[in-house]
Amino acid sequence: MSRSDRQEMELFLHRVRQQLAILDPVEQREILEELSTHLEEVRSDQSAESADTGDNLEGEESGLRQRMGDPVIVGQRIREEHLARRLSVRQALWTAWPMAAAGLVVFFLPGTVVGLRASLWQGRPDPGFLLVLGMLLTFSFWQARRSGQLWTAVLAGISGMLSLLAIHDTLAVTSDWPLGRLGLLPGYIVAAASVIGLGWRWGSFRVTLAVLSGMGTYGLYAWGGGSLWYATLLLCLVPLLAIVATCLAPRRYYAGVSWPALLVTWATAFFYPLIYYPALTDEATRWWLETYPLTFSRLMQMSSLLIGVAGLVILLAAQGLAWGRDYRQTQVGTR
Amino acid sequence: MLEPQRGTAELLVLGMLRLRPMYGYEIIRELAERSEGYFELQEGLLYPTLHKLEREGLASAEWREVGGRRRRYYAPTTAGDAALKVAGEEWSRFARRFFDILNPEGESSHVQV
Repeated sequence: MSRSDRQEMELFLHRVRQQLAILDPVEQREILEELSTHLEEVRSDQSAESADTGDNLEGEESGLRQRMGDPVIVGQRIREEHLARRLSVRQALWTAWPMAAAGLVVFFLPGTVVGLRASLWQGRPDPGFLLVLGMLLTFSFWQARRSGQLWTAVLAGISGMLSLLAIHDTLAVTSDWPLGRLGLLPGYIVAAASVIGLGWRWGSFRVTLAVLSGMGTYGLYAWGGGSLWYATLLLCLVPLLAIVATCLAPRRYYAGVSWPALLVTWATAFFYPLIYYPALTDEATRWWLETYPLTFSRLMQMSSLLIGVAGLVILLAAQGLAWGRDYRQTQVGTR
Repeated sequence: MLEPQRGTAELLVLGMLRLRPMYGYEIIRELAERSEGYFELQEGLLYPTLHKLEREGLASAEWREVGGRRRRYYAPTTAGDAALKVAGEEWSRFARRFFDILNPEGESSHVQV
């Protein structure tokens, strides 16, 4: 292909890309790759035809444009079709609440959420739980709306919460430590398997990996007795492994989730139990303070609270920006 | 040259995909060849149509590497085959009735779809 052909193609794709800016980055890449291959073949055929007929297409106002039409129109039509698959806010809320309600019901199953029930019976609000639940549901809702994969996002979020709480309750049963761990292990396995299965099937693989690696890190850390060196090693190693795994995963298994959002999700999944735990029961609080130095405990509490709040702010801001961009694009499209 | 309208475009594309899995440019070429140039499908209509078929579960797509190029091949699903069959029968009925009206003397043209 000649240089001018290549430039013409890139210009065409650039104009199409401008119309697709509102779409998910993964969707955009796939659409543009498909179009790029198409354009190469069109140009290749045109060159072959012109060689046969002796016509010279160079310098004409784009044999490519004559063949393909206006790239803005092409991009707009593709964009309209992809936007049609998005859920509206109303649709996302309407279908999300039953799953959220189901998740909360499961939370109260015997043996899975000892700490939450204890907290509620004692009448103390649990800001840590509400914070993270809010984060995960916001994130799930955002993902659902962008990709149309509602069940993926919501169930991944709920399942992530179940996994966190199952691990958390494992640690909360301090009176009979070995049996406590074993008793809650099935719940943990089921929750983890559901997160993996749902994420794999419906494309939020990165999200579920972030949640799993965060809670897995915490679980290993607590299991290992809580030494600082061990924790440091896990903090470096596990997210690295998670990132490598997501890079290796086939693209169709994840939605276009940004790395900052993933890191925040991971950090929240890791630090969440550290802010939730002291609010659990007096017995658990005593155990925590007896096991870890007071300064370290307070530091972890504050940092995890800050990370949780920061994560929620980032997610809400990102969603606000996405909605604002959607709105602006819609206005442009209607002129 | 007739540019297929939306709606008929979906049926034409599904009809092509029924022959074998195809990628976008192949569909355009094959359609033009088989219709002897009668149907000329524009890219601006083809790709939204393909994506719509995928979204509605009437077609599936997968990337394949052929000759160093990655192409997205589309194929009809079971639901797509069923939808095409129903639509084909409907078109056949429509065409039959249409020509019955145009030829009231009874010289009916039965169109096989």
